[in-house]
Amino acid sequence: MDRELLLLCLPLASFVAATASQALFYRLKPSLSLSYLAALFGGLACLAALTALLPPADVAAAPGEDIAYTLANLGIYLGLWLCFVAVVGLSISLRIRIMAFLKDSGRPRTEADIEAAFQSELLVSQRIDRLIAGGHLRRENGRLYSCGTWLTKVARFNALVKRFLTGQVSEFHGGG
Amino acid sequence: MSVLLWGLALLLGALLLHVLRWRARLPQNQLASLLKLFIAVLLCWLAANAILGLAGISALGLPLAPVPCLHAALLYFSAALAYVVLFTTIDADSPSILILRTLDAAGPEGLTDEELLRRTGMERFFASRLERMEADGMTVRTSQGLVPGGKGGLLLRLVLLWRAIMGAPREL
Repeated sequence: MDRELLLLCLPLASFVAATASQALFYRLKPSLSLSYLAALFGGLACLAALTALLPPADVAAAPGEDIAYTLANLGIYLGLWLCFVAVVGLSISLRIRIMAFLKDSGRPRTEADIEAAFQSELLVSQRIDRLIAGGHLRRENGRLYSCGTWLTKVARFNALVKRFLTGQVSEFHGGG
Repeated sequence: MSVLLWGLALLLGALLLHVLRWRARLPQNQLASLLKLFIAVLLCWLAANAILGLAGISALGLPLAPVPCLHAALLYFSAALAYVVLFTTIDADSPSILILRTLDAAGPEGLTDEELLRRTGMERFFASRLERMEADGMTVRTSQGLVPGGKGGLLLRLVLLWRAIMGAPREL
């Protein structure tokens, strides 16, 4: 097979290896976050092994070509891995749980039905409890405070990008 | 080298168009618009590559042969899809991120639960999610209420299929 075609197939084969690693790891140890790491490293190991197995390139004819292809393949693989993590992570997202509820209902449901089924008034307090348990917030004398952890820095960056791109602060407030 | 350079150049060009377009006027359905923009950039580049090839003209390292052209397109598109995934966290606010942002802005004074709810506007959190799902075509409104839409049903099937492969319980 043509070397360029083989190079194109490497990140795709590595992505398949990553998905297989994720599923196998989860069957052994049911932890989503660890299974993402298993997928990442399983795929990276496959990419490295397949790259090493490729027939050698004509370095004199095109210096730096191998490094450029390796970087391109790493970029393709990491992009596909991130998309895979997003799709697998969807299974715990509220949207998918609402979809499952609607499908299982087998009939149309009103907003009030859905809000009652998901106890929407508890959603925010559950998030607060989770953030306190994770050490990101603390509650003292009935007031909540930020602990300034890494997640707060992510939140600041998120706000900065959102304001830069959309001019909005939050989807719940609309513009401004 | 041209695969890496063209893949990155396309991504940078598309991101620049994205910022300019979003700053000029915010699209109604941001995710769909972003995907359309990334696909349009790719199609324009593929067309330019084909036209230059047919005309026998060389410019800026183009035309690329079919396999390197596909490789550059794959690099661009996988990076673009990864960006779309990251953009979803900016487009639709995560309640946890919003809570942290609001309390961070409140500083050492902190906030009570009621003040937090009022400042974040999260009384509308659930309603906002349902509105977005309808706007995105994940759900469809009938006279009796909401039912799963084509897009949402497909996504749910994909998630459930992968959960079955992983050996995870069906309950979400």
